[in-house]
Amino acid sequence: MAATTTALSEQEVRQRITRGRPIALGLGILGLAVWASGLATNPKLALQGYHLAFFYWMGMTLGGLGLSLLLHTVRGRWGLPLIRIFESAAMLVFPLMAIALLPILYDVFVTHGIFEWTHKEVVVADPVLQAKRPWLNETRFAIAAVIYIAIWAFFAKRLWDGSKQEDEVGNPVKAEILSRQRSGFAAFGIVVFMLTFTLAMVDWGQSLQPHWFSTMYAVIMVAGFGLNMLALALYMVLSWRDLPLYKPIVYHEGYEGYRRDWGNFMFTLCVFWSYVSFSQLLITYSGNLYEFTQFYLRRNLGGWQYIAYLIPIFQFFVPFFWFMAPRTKWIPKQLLVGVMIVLAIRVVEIFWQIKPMWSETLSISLYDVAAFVGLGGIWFYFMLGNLLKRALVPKNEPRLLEAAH
Amino acid sequence: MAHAETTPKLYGIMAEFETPDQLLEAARRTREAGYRKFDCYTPFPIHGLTAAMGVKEAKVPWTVFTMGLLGAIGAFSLQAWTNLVDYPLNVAGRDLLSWPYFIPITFEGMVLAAAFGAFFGTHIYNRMLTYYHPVFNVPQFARASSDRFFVCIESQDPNFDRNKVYEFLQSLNPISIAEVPE
Repeated sequence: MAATTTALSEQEVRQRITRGRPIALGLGILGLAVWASGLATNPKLALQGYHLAFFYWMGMTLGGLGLSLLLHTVRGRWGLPLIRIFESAAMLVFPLMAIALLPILYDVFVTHGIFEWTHKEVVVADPVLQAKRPWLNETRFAIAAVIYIAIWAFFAKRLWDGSKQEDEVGNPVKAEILSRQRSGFAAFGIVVFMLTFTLAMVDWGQSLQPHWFSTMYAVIMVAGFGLNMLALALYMVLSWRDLPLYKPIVYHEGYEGYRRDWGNFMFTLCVFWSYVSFSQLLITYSGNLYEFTQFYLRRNLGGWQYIAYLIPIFQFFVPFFWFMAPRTKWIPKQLLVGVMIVLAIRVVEIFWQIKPMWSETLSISLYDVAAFVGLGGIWFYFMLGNLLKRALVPKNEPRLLEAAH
Repeated sequence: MAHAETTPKLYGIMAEFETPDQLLEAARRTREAGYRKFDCYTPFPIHGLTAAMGVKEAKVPWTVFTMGLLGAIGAFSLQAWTNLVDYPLNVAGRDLLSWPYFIPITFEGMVLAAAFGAFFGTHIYNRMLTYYHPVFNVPQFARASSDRFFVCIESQDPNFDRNKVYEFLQSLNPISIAEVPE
């Protein structure tokens, strides 16, 4: 039985990954070098660009952790070819993303370029920010960040070890028992993850505009980054669809197989993201109160409105019709194109979410791009490295290529 | 069937099979033999049967899609027309075309119209509310709802020839063959 998956040849995919890693590392070092040069000339702008990159890549990491927890809980068949990718991303929480947090902490305590609430003179003149001081203060920010990362690292490691153990038992029945035992732990993990994720998003994203708040913010982010990580994993698997490992998986059972589930899940997450994003807009628009509307005011003026028009088009309308069509899920290349559209617009959306916090007019600096590419390159280097450490798809998992009917 | 010979009108000729796999094979060969007006009757949905029969893309999804689109456009237009043209009302200084407010109703309109499309589309395309169907004239057909599988080649088919169809169905090795009187 174990032969069902171990018989699949991983060699070609491993070669591709091994060839890709130095490129990612090179881009990462190049990007970070350009960014570091900005640190000397314009530290404030460079650190803001860095925060943007950190927010995006941390979000991707957490998207991987969230999807791993989900898959370990529900044990869905659709995720079997993707789960090792999610786990590899989740494992980056520690140490990579913990180290990546250091420049942000440096800015919070020393340079004060990212968060308005770290400016002493602004806070002194503002009674609202003074009242928020018990939460929005530097020490609490740093301690909380350490706690979040410790919790996420614990769950990521447990899931990673569990999968590893499952791959090593050499018997599908034992593997299934282990996997069922872990599902309760993972379900508990989802609860803890959502609570800590919400607080982290308040700290790292929402508090950039400290007067503004929204109860939908973390939900928009979790839907968006879940979508983002799923799109990335699908991009990888679908790009490798003609290699011996993934060919039988991607083409398995035709339309009834994985592709339909993947396309439907992309569709669902796009719609869910749209639903919560639009809810936030509608509630803000109805309430019409200054604390709330300033979020959209900032993002609807000074050139930002053009990006604001792009986002619903490419993260709702286009994917909505694209992923709804059965043809998309039938033709892997067409599914891949849809996934790429989503990946592209996600970067634009996060830019639109974060950058206007510092800039009233549409602007992009070299350091935004450099930090994004730099941190992203390093992120990919280690993520692909994690992926190579184990079998690329679960061993001892007869469901992987079993007929569903 | 003795009485079938005396009946001038023939609906079709029906073959009975024991397993879904035999039916799939029969459906495929019937289509390959050039017959187009034929139908399969099964107690439960069989995976791949529509493909074996060569049924083209289903019409219901497109009906639902069109109806949903019309419902959304209709609901949005209705709100835009009432607020801009018919009864313009200043609500807290907002734009007359306050589109975020229109979205929930637009969504509801789309769902309602699409549901009508699904409900009536299914009824119309499946010819539901048909109170009489000739296949029930064959006694064996009672088991179509429990454990038997049927193919019926209809006399409306341009290639229909009583003897040839008989011969052809015989070649599929059915349990029984019956003429279906109209």
